[in-house]
Amino acid sequence: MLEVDDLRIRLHGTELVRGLSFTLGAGETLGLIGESGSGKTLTALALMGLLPDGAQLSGSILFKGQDLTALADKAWGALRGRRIAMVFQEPMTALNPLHRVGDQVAEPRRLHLARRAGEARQEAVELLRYVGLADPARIADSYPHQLSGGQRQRVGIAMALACGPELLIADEPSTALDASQQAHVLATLAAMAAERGMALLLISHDLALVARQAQRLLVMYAGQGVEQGPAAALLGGGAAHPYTQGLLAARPRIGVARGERLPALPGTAPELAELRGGGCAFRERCRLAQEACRKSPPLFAVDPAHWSRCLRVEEALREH
Amino acid sequence: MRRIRTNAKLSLGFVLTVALLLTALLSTVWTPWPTGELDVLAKLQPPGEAHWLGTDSLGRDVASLLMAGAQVSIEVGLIAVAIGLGLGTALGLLAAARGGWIDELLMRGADLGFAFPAILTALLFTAVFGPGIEIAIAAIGLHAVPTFARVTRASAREVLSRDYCLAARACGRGAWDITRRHVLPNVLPVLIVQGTIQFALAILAEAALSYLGLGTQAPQPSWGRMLAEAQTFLFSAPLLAVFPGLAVMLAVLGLNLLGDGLRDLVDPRLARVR
Amino acid sequence: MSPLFLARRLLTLLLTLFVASLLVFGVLELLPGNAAQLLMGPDAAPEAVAALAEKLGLNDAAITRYFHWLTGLLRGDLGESYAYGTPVATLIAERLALTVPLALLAMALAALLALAAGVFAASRHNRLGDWLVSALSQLGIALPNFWFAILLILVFSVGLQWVPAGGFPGWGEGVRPALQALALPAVSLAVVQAAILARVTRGAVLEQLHEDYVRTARAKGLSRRSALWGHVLRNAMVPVTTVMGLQFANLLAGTIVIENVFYLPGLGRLIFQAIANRDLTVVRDCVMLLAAMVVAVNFVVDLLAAWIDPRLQQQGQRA
Repeated sequence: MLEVDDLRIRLHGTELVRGLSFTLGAGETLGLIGESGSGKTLTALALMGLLPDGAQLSGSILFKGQDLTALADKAWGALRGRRIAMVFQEPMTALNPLHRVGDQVAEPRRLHLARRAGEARQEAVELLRYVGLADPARIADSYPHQLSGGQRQRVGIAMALACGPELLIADEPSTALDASQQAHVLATLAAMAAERGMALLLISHDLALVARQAQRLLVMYAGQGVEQGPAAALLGGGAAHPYTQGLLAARPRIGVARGERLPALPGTAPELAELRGGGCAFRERCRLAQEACRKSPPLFAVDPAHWSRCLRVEEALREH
Repeated sequence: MRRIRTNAKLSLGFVLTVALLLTALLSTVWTPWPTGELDVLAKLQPPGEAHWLGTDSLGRDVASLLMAGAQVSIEVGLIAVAIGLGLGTALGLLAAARGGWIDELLMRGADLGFAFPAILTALLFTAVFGPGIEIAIAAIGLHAVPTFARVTRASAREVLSRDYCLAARACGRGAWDITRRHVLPNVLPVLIVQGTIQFALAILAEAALSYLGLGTQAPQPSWGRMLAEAQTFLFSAPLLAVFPGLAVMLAVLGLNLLGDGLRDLVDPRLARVR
Repeated sequence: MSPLFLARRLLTLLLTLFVASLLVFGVLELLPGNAAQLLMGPDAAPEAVAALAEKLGLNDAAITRYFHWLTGLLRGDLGESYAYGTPVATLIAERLALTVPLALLAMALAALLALAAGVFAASRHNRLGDWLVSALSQLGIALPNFWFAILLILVFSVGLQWVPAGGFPGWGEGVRPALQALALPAVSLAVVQAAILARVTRGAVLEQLHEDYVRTARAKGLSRRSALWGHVLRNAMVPVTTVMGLQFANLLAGTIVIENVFYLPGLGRLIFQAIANRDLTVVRDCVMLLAAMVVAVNFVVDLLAAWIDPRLQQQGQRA
């Protein structure tokens, strides 16, 4: 359904997304993992045509055969909210504080499906019930500031699902919630996607959280995809890129001996503006880095469905 | 781009304000013609060689009157702002420091104060005491008090909530001490900005009041009164009405620009959406 | 709207009016000498003065006079004007018939102008259009409204002779002549207000445009224009309405001045004439009325803002 090929996004003179490619099929859930600054939010915005002014896009984004990079603003209006929808990270600010929640959920249906106010309101209440909110009628009448963070995020999900989109992009949907709600919201999303045959792109910095819901994982670093493969394989010890391995190793888990430090990746992500020349962007922090890594590593296929952008894939797999 | 705009505002405002001050200062020692000199034969002349901006209905030189008028504007502005600043800052600090019902009371009082524009108060005072420049100063000054109080309170509260103030209080420092050392220096920039803006408002108010006959009385030259006199001769000498108003506008504009520019400097946070 | 909020606001309104009345009354108490004496002049016979004093109830204690006045205000009975010989209430009502429409007209004009200019400037943010509006509003704020009025008279009355240079024919002669007489006054009042409001509108719109919910609205499929009208403008209206309310006091002050420029028989001129006639009761009633109007307008504006933005109903907030 969705084919992204060599997506490059340039903002203020710096290339922030540097050749990202992936596909997503109907009913599939792809987890897009990356730390802040990796370019994942920009990718999401590009898929919605909502890149900030001044951003330059190259590459292709094919949605059911239609090239989104060449789409005029008016044509986007028919896609956004209707066939491609997005759930945003900050539930508090993503909702208009002065409109009732029910009206905001009903808005896409009134816009795209020409529902009248009364019908749309009813449908909004149903949507709120569907996303797991108790007493949906009361919530529909409430204002955002009267709801909790978890409730607001579910409202955001209801808004995105309102017109039954074919592709749902969820940008850090649980990051702003507390731990107890995070897994729950993600599970809800994944379940709905499966139920409706909807393609779901789950964006997060938390690999472990997303891995449970996604069939495939795509790990991003410094604007590029560094590893893509089945979630089960990556989680089950089959991660084939040092960065992914580092992320997995740094998870807090039961079984770590007292006093033993969690392994953390040294250093921080590079400033993309300062990244010059070729070479692997991760080499400064990589435990397997070599001289040869100064040249941009190509993609190595671990499996037909699993690739890693690393020269020393075999060592990575072995040492893990 | 933003930097250029701020600097343009500041520069222009500064130039205009300095021009105003210098004119007033200069007029105390020299004007092209003595302001009190009547030359009835030369009345209502358009601008010319002898009288650069013309003469009024009594033959007085307009340019000289304009220069002298600046004195009154500045005098009223300064004293009124001093009153407003003095009282307003004190009240604002009190409200911020004490909080509780004093704060509530003072803020309600400020709300009430906003309901009485300077002109209204001036009218009331004039009814009781008769017209005069002191009335204008008092009315304008009083009207400025709520604004200064509000601004000081807001700024002081922000400072008082900062960690080093809490630490100072934990160390047992007295309220007056904290106010002096910490609050005042931080509140000062805001006060300077507000003071400049209130100065502009004061000049505007003084002009309006003397136009109505409530402020500066004859024979003290005042831009507002010049406008009132000019209105009766609108048909015969239209230019008479232009210059005094222009003077007011330029003075107010200069001070406003200066105040705005200073505000941009002082609080770049506020300049975020420019 | 929460009834508790409404009740609190109402209580504040009444309290404010009460304190205002005390202040207004109190100031006039400072008057040295005898009000009756002032009215009649220094040459009047002492017996006449005493009689008038008795008639006006000046010999009663201050508290009594205050309550007498207060109850009179509430009943609408303000006694008789010595100078005019007519009931003060009638006098004031006549004058209000000019001042109120003038103020409303000016406010409406200012709002329209400011909204258009503010939205325009926000949409041309940091480009020429924005800069132009900012420059014009700086000029507008510095503009003395009575000077602008005189210039307007110069151009439109003296020069073009489209409208009269002053005076008011009254509503009885027909709406058109009355509006013609109010045109220049309203415009001169509106321009300064518009300048102030335009800046606020621009700032408010710009601020809202950067908010996340605008992006959400677009993500739902709304066009830029729909997002602007449906979301941004509505949210931006809250600070704008609040400022309009705050500006109302200045507007009324402006009408007093403008009425004098155009010789309009409104409340402002009445106060002046009353001062000239030393008719203090009229002065007191007019000032009280003006203050009450300001407080009432702010009350309405507060309610309006809270209706648009329900969050305001929660805290006992300060702007």
